[in-house]
Amino acid sequence: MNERTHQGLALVKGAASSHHSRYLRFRLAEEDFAIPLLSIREVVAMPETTRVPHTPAHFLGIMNLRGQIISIFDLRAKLGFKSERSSETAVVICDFEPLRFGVVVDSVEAVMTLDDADIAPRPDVDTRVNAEYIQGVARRDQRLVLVLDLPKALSLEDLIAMKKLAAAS
Amino acid sequence: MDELQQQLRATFLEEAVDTLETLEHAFLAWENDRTNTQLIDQIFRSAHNLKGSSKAVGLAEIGAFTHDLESLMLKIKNQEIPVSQQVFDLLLRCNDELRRMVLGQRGGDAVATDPELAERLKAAINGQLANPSSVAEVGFEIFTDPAPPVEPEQAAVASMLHPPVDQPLPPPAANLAKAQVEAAAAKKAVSSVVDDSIRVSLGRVDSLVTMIGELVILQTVLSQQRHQIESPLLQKTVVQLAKITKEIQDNSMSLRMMPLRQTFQKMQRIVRDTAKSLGKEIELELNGEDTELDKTVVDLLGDPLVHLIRNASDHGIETPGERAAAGKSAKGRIRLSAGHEGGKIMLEISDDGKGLNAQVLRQKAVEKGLIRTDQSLTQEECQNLIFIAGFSTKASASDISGRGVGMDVVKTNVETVLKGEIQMVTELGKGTTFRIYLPLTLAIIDGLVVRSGSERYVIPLTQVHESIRARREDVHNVVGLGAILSLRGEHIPMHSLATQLGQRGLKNQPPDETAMIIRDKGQPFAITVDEIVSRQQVVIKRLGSEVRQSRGVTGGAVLGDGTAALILDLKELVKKDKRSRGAA
Repeated sequence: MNERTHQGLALVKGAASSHHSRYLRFRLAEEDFAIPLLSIREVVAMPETTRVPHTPAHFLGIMNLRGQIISIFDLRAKLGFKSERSSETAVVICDFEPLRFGVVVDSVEAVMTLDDADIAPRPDVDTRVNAEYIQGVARRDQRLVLVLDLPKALSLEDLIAMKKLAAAS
Repeated sequence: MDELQQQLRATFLEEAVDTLETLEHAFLAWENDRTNTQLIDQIFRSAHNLKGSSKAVGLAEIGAFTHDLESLMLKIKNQEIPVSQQVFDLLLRCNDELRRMVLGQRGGDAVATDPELAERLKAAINGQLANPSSVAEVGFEIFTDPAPPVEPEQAAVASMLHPPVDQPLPPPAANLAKAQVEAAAAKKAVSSVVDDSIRVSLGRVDSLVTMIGELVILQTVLSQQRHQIESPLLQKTVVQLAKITKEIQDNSMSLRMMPLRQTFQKMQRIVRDTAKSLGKEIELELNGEDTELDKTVVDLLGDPLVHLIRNASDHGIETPGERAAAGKSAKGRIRLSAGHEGGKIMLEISDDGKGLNAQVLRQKAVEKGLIRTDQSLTQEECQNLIFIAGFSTKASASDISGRGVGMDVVKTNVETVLKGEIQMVTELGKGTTFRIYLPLTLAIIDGLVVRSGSERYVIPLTQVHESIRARREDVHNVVGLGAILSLRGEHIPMHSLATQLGQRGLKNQPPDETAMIIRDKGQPFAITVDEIVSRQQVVIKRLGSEVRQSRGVTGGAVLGDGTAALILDLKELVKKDKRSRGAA
């Protein structure tokens, strides 16, 4: 907790001077992705999950994280890749107030610092796929890193809205 | 304002609510025992503390008002001002006013002192007690003041609904209902302050309980693997650890429990004010205030209790004249008691008033079109009409109760929110008794762990009437109706849990099926599962909003082996299926 606050403060200070933030870089189907470190609570090994009825396929189910029940999503399935597990597979537990959930990734790579200037806007490719969940693109060691907006990527808002609708009908 | 000062102010506001509660209680006690100088001293001290600390945190207005209140108390203490009914009314109103200001501050709004009341207080200090304290005025005071709140939040709502303190009209039913709903939604309340207790936030207690739950699970794993340990000392240690862990768990569960004392004491004020405004004499007798309940339950209990107490004072107890005519003592009596009964908590609210007249109730129900003229009802059914929505026996809704939102709201609150039960016994001319049975806690339920496919689910035990082994010859597949189970001459629809949950490619169909029978009002039905694994108590966990809205899912739980499981509401689940089938 303290550590996080500390990181938060460091980040706020950093942001005031040179606008750089720290990101967690992870791999998913041979691609590099990044999410803001501040939104991450912890990384755990692939847990046992319990399926929830009537939920989309990328919703793996719920897990017990030291007494707290947390929903787990399969990012591979959501982004249209084939589901795969290895010894490197990990679950990143994220906090996007008021949502707290975990996403399954292929492997966690490293923490990286990105200057705001390093992140280029999402290339405006004419595609049928809604790419809104990509916040921007950064270059690192000849590789592209896609900065993700996780709640958007998982269509969490849609999922909640859908449930509400179902409950109301 | 710097952070430290903000912190200090927050602490002050927290404590002020408690202090004001103590003050109110002291005022009420003093009113009944006017010679008790100890009480005067206590009041004096509390007021003085409040004044000092409010000024210290920069809340000048509260400080100034308390200062005046203290001056008045000083004059009373020195017997410069005689103690009278008007003085008590004024003191209590001042107390309410302070509470209103404190709660306002807590909500982040600076609340100004009511100028009229401040004026009256100043006049009183100079020995001029304003005397328009007629019954009528007191009558609306009860409603314009946020005076009888069950919870501070409700008071806040009430004061929001009625900003000017002296608006002479009782709130319309809609507002009241709204206030009730909001108050019910509000969870926070002030925890009790006993001499040897400390204030801990509920969040901390909950996280402690959660962590201990995890500890127990780890301990279970350790105990199961015990035989693999070679060292006898280690083996012994594991056994001892298990015992202590169990004790810690029991203790931690009791942390959430709190006595009903505060809730009960608030009722004193309500009875006092109600009785005064109606010109009745009522004594409230409290029993079993030390009975402990889960904090959440205690918080949610306030509203229904206020309603029942008001109802008893208003509809139950007669006026002194009526009582004399019926050969009763002039002073009516309401008993409020709590105690344990068979693993549950029973609350009893009984009055020695006029009781419910079945014929009158029936008549009213017919007039209101709630029942047909020729409908035959037993005495008991007539009496239970009061629990129907829109039923109010008073011709004109009085200020105190009888808004027609009363009893049905109480019943729904008790049954759905508190997961309890309400019963009523009434005898004409003798009085009415309400009994409320409540679970000890809302955080733990007795559940059946069932397996369907590879998943396990928790079914609250209260839902399941019985579980049976359905023999194949008793199950009939009827075209258009689905499976029907013959059970002791009864034919009830049978569903499969796997199908209900949309577990594709799964059908619970061993030769003989394990079926649970659900009979809770409405049509009974059976639901088949692969196996009933165990019966155990589970702690209900909140689910994320992405799961919470799922119909048929009421919460999550962590099973003995540490895996997460869903708690199901079978009735909801089956209902859902019926709807979708109907739509398809």
